[in-house]
Amino acid sequence: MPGPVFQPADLLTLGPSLALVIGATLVLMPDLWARRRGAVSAPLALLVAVATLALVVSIWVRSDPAAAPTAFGGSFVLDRFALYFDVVFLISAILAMGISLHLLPQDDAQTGEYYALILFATAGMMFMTSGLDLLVIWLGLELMTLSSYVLCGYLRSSRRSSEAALKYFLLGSFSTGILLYGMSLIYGATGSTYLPAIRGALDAGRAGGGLFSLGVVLMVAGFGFKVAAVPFHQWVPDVYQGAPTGITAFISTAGKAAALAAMLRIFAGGLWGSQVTDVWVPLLVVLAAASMILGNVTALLQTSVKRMLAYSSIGHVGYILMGLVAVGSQLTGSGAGAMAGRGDDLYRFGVASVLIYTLVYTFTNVGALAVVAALRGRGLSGEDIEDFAGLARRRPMLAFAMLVFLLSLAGIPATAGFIGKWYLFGAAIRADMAWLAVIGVAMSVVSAYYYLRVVVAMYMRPAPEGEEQEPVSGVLTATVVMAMGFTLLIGVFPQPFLDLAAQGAAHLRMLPWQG
Amino acid sequence: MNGMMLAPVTSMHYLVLSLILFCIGVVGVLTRRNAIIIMMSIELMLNAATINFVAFNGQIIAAGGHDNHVGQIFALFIIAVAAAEAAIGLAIVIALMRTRDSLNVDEIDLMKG
Repeated sequence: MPGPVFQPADLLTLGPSLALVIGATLVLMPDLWARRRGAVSAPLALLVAVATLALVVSIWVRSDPAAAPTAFGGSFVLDRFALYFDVVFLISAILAMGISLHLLPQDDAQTGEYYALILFATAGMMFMTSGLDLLVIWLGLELMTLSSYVLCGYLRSSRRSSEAALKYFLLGSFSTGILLYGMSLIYGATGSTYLPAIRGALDAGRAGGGLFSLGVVLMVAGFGFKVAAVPFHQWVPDVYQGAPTGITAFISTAGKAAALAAMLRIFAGGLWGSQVTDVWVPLLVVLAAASMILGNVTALLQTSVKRMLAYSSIGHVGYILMGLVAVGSQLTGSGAGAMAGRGDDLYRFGVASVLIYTLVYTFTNVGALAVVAALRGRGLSGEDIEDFAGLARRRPMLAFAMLVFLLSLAGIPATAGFIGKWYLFGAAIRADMAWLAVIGVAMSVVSAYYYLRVVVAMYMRPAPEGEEQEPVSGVLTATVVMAMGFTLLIGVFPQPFLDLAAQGAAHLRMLPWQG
Repeated sequence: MNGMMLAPVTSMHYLVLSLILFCIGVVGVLTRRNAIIIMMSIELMLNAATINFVAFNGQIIAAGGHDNHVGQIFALFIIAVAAAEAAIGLAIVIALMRTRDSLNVDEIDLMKG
């Protein structure tokens, strides 16, 4: 690692992550004296997340588009790529807290720890996206996943919640072991864990060979678990169904976005050159195609909406991996000037398409799960498709919101999902992988079928007799309205959001930052 | 003593050892059904990575490379994180045991489809 290891100014670069960690620690305290647990700490956690979001946005506005501050000898960078993902994580955390503020009092489980753990997990995600060193990325990943295991099993008296936590824990730490072994092999082959140094070793031809390739394969498998791509997806349906709905929303959007950001940093930022991309690009092609097909086809068979959304999220990961494949197909050359003109354009286009889709998917999927949360009430889990019958007559606004989210997930024009898919499929076509885009389009048609099943239940089936619904709390209404507003806004006026994604993509291209 | 000539331990030996440990761990996770034994197998996989990091660190220094002991630092972090992971894993197992009597992962099947 170049440069001095620590300077006091480094703490400023760490600002947003530090604010979250300090805020989360504060959130743990009010429960000690508050009369009702969570009465103070839960709103405080929401405040910390909103304040951190404001801080991240202000850093973005004041940042220099041509440079980025680095810290700790260059192993931590706060460029616009990292800031973009920080915004996604914080939005997901805020919306997930909105869902939880409505649901946890119903389970009599409102406590400060829960919200503090969401903040800690978010801080871990920020380290993952800002890390330029495998050690930093891995530690961020662990902070995120360890917090998520606890959150999944948070409803201790619920057998489903504990079961989800055990499955998530066993498969999650298994994948951590695989990922870590891959990292150790890459360290052995290149002599460094610092991404720019790894790329330097690759450029100089000092790395390669069987051990290095095995390391790359193991890292792909490890991250495959984290983003839940087929064939590493078995844990997803059980965990997403069993976890508290707020946590399902959080880990299915922010958790995946963090793993994808780390993949972009490592694969698109560090592992350049034909001898590496020949290993990881074909693997990702297989993962993308298998995830799109299996995720969407299995979703057809589900009767639980939560479980259907879990399988559909596997399909969505398949779409996103297409963007990574498009990026990887341009990284065959070596040296700084290897990629110019069309390759460079496509690199940015591919990265930007992944960035925009993670934002779109965050609003859409959290929104859909917020509607599921709103349906829960006396004797209803809100999770079965049957529970949606006649919703348009009982609660027209809620039904309309769900309609928007489902259309966006299916990728219908005028919703955000269409814009996201347009760019991902475009990236695949421009990278001469039209057949992959064809699979994507075909599977989107399949997905429209199972999303529309819910719409049919809402609009064309009679409501069950004599059922009274719990009133929806104001905070949950605000969550749904915000998610729906952005889903429509990105669908109708995509340009400002595309610009932000393009700036983030441009900064990933500028690696390595010289501190 | 005309003792046996022992070949020096090279980084290849460490690598073979770590590969064996890693494979035992993977096979353990995939074939054993008790949650605690699966956790122990995962620990083996983490330890295999630790051995690699320390051995490669030594190899890089012996070859005269510029290295500020990243491998050893990484190993220390793995040990610390593995401890945290074990604590959380055991807590989850205890929470699960309160609602049922078995730790066999094949019987933990409330959700299907």
